[in-house]
Amino acid sequence: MTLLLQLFINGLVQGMPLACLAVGFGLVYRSLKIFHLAMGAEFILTGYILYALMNWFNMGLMSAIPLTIILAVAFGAAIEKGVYLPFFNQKSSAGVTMIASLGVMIIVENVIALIFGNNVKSISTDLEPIYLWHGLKITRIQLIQFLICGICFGGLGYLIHRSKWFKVIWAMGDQPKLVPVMGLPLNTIRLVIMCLAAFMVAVPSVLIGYDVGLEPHTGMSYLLTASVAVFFGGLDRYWAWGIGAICVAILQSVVVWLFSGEWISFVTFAILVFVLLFKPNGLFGVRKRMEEE
Amino acid sequence: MKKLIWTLVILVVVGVFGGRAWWLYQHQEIGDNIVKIGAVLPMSGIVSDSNKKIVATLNVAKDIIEAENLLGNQRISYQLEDGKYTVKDSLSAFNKLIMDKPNAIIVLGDVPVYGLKTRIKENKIPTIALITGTADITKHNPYLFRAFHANNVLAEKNSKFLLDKGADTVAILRIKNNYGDDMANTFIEKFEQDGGKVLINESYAMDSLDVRPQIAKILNTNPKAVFITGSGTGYIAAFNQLKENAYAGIVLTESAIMDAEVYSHITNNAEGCYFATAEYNFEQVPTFKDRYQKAIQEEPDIFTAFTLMTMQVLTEAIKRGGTESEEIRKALLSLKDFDTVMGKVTFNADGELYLDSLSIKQMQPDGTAKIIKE
Repeated sequence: MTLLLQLFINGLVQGMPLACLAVGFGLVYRSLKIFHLAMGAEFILTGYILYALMNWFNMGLMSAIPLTIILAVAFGAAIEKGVYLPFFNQKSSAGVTMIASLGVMIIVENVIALIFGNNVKSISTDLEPIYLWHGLKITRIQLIQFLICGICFGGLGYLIHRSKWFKVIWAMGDQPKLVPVMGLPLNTIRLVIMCLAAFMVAVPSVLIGYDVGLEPHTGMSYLLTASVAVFFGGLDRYWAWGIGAICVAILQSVVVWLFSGEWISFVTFAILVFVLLFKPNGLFGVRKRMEEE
Repeated sequence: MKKLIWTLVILVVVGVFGGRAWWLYQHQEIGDNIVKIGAVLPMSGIVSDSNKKIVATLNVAKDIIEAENLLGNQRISYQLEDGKYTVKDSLSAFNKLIMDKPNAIIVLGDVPVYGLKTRIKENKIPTIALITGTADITKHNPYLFRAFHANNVLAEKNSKFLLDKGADTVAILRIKNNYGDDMANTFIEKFEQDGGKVLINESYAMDSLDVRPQIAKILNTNPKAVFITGSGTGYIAAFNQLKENAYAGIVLTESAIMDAEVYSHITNNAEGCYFATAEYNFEQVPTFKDRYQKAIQEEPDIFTAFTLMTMQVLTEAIKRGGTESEEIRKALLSLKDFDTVMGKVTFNADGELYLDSLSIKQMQPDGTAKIIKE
């Protein structure tokens, strides 16, 4: 029973960074209608920026993190200005933009491998303090991940429901064509969405990178898991992305209780197929009227 | 204007390809005095970092062979192809290699060798399976020779060592590929034959960064020893995350821990762990170490040693039998107690390597390994 609880806690802790990643994917997918594959590039690039700042420029962890996040957000803005917006202005199809997004990810992944090598990079090899409670273990960095990502996820959710500007971002996902009609600056809102998404990806990237290290080819795996979390929870409810992420992370962790560790990625795709087949709107999805679709 | 741009583009393309073709023509090595050695190596992909030391060793070995005139007037020409440590890419690389009719081939790693073993047999070119542990992989394949310690040989040594230490229950955490499966299976077979019990056999993906769920499951069985085997980021994560849990039992692993790159991510978390490995002595080739360090500014390690040994046995086989593939194969089989950097080397009729030096080492706090048991 302790093992099951331990696996559950591991999953719960991993669920929070995944919830932030799900927001990074979901915001862009819902509001800009782009299957944001370049999010994988944002994820890996952020970790490597932190690594470079600390190892090449000898910055301390606490000063490197804010600069890393600023640079990561700038990268998100660059993707919008350099890739997504030109395609949007040309009225390109979603498929074309997705291929361009995939291109960004492959380029970034390979450039990182070229500069830093294919091997793993560790930001810290120090042992993390461990907290014990009735035989259950959690490391300090896991706890920090849970808290910081929880604050980011909860904070943005609050803003989306309370702030006028953030409400516009959410509303854009429902009626994107109404934004310019209402005299709102569409390009600025698009840019804000991309920056917000980049921020929500940068925070877990830094924390995960610090905890388990960096590897240039992991972006796609995190991106897929985050997208599954969004579709699993339901695309049209912000909180459902978080619930979806936590459920996916817990299932991935708990699967080890019954089966071998090699089945972890199987769970992700089994959930995706299940959702697409039986709950296409996700667990908490909103059923729309035909004219809304 | 458009015409001018197109003309320029065409000129540039023709220039680049034409130039390359001319360069290749000028630099092609033709003649009876060239010994062609092909190699399928992980030049890109997740394990490509090990490639640097392998290529450096091959080049230094070539320089020494030619400088010392070990092959008379014959010169070695390498053709290196990228197998990316996958079966698919290794097959493409191998197919490309054999077009050039190499005299011998080197293939690095269990996954590529496993995928190529039928093609090797069909093409009848003597092939050295470098750093390939899968048990019996050379069996029934007269053209395949191993240049590494076989998993079943390690299993025997590991099993005996653990039982001598009183660790009769073991949990295994292995990489999920042919190598990890074979390493675990050969160990389980031997260990249970010797009276031990394997409580759990868990796996991780080569690119895993987090193996905490597997470690929680393993520790839940209260093993007296944990056997971590494999490579890649999952291997590193396994050590670091096992140490997080303050595991107090015996940690057994393999020579991958001595890879400087791997160790730099594990450091003190590997302290005290044991592994079975072959001994090597670079003094056997006096100028090698200096030349190697000059080439890549790194200390040579066990993987360097096995690569150098590969070139030593191939050189000797060519010296004895000539450059015909069949003659090289026969000459490799005739090597008995041949002196190499790995000590005395013999291949049995199956192309299996017999090494006379295998010992158990323990990782020390300073990152070196100390022999515990011969």
